[in-house]
Amino acid sequence: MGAFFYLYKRSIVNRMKRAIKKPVTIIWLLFILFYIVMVPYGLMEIARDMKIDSPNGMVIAMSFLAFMLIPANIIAYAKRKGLAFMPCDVHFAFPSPISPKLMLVYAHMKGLPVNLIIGVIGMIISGLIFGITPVQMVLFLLFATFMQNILEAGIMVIMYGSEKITEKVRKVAVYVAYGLIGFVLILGLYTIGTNGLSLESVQLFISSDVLKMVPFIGWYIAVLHLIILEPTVMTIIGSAAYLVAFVAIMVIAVRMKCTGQYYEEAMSFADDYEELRNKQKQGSAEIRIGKKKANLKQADVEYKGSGAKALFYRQLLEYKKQKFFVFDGQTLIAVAVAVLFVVAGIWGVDFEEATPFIIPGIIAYIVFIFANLNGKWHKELKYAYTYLIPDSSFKKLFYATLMQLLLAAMNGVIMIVPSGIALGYKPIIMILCIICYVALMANKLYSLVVTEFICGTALGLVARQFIHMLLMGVGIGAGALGAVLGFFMGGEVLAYVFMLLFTVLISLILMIISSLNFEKMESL
Amino acid sequence: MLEVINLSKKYSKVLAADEVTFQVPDGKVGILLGPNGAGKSTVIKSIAGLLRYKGKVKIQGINSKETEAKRQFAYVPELPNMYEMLTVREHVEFIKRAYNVTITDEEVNELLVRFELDDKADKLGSELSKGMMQKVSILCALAIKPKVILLDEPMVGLDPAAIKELKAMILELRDKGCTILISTHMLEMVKELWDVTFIMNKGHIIGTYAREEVANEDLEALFFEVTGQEE
Repeated sequence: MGAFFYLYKRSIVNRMKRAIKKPVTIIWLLFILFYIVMVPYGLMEIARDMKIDSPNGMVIAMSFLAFMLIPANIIAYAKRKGLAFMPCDVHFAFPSPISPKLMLVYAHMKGLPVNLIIGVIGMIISGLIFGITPVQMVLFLLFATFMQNILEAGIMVIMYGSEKITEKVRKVAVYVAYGLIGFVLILGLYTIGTNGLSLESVQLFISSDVLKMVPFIGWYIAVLHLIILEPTVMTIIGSAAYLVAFVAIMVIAVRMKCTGQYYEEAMSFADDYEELRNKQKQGSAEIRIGKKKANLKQADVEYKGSGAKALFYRQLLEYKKQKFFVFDGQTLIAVAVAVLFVVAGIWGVDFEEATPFIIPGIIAYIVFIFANLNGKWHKELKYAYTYLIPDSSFKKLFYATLMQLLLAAMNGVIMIVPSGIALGYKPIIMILCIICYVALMANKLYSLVVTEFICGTALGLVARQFIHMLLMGVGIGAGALGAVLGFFMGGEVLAYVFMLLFTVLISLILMIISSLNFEKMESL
Repeated sequence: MLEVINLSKKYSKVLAADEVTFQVPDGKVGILLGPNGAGKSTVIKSIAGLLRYKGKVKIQGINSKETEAKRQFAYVPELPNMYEMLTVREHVEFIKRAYNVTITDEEVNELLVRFELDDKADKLGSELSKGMMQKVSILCALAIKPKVILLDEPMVGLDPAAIKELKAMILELRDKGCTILISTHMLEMVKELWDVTFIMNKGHIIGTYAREEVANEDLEALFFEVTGQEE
């Protein structure tokens, strides 16, 4: 354990040393401070409004948290997921004489310092909001942060490390966990069905004796009742069951043989995790951990023209090989927005004066908050051949981003046409809206190139994202300014025309700056 | 001594290593050769304990899964991966604690100087180039003072000075009685190092050659002759 303790300690110290040197740390600290101060007040208000600002309310809130976390964790461990080993662990720790079981505990405990901080803050907030005594606060912290964590570590060691548990048994464990969730849900629906949807029903459900007998989730709730509320026969029985399970799991986990056969899965998981981290840094929205890589379809493409056009056709070929062709996460977002507006239209939701501008407002928001989704084009910036193609930098930038602009037009149609019909927009407004969406997406693409140019290798990911969003904000702000000017000058259509003109103008400026810096890889 | 006995490994339906058996005696340098897809990496990762396999691997006569065997065994993977938040020196300290090995600060400094890492000792893992990472990886393996060392493509990414130093280090280790197994494609690089060569193809060992038995033959010529590949 000495080696891991050393690893933790030095990693934390070095991380802090590095953080102190970065100005962005101060911004983060201010944010955290703001949240620490504001969240309790907000939660106190909510608890007061919902009439759960009592120890009873705490049991309800913590029980719901347990419903969300405990079964999900058990399922993740049974599937041999949920442990974040890194390739450096595979390199240095796996071949070492460190016990494979200890390695599992180490991976599980990586999150303990953060959990502990959250636990202490949560404990203080709970004391303020729900009015529990200091002794209860400490007992709750010890139980929820330490004991439950150790119990989960034990379950994880058994599910991950046991070399006797077969794949079949693991699958059964997953089904049992789903069964427990199903049972709890049915119990909840039955209670609400018989007593009506009210806070009393929820309270009745949480304090029901049957629930306290449900393995793990129910036993956890029983201990919560025992610590925060008064002891009853069933809370004592449920708590005793929790304690017995805790001891049994610890004994099994300690005595069980583990020679490290799980390393094979953990190694592949570590590679996937690293790949995901790198992709997220580059703006990909792909989430694939522990799953097989999607099989690509056979496809071909006829290259028309030469030079920078090759970039466009290569991207087209890549999309043709994909299972869902050009439809990706952005299409899903577009569909979701359209569904929301159609439902709002069907229900007759009145957006009042905001109606003519609600769609462009929402799409600007969507483009802004999903700024880190960059599609396939972003990797063109990383390839040396992009810069070596004998063509003008303007053409290279245009053809590297053309596919994304076409996809933006497609997603724009999917999102805006049904939404526009539902809200009674004129066809010309819908067309202007679609063009506006494409211009905003262009703004996003080109502002990313400008950001990369500004940051170079000097600034980190957070600073890049900040500058990117700032530039995008300028584009959106210009569009909004155009809309306001146009509206006062000549009404709705002119507002759209001005909004479009201003957005396109900013996109063009960004495009020209981008193309000037698209010459050498060094500048990016 | 490193003993690999009837090692087999299957990935779903693909048999990557089939009944692979070989041994590298104490104080000898073994080379594992083979074309791409021959199964070398599978064998190497199995020996390092990263894969499940059938058969046995023994380090100094002890089952490789035993702690005592791991304590005497060092592994240099093909692609180095550093702890982002540990410095070079802290990597050595971590290894020292993990293997419970006694290595003095002077010895660590000597290794740092030999691999021209003395001015990088306080750099974080995330700040190192690939070549430097490879040097740290080798340095950590040497810090273990192993009885058996496994090097997977150790020369990749190293500069000429580091390659020269590594070769000298390998010969020093051999002279001290350490068992060394190197998996590589770079035949030129191991010409003057090898004592015994194992050539793998399609999951099998198809040739084993001791230097004293084939003293006059060129390693490269042997490889192409056995694998049937064109020179």
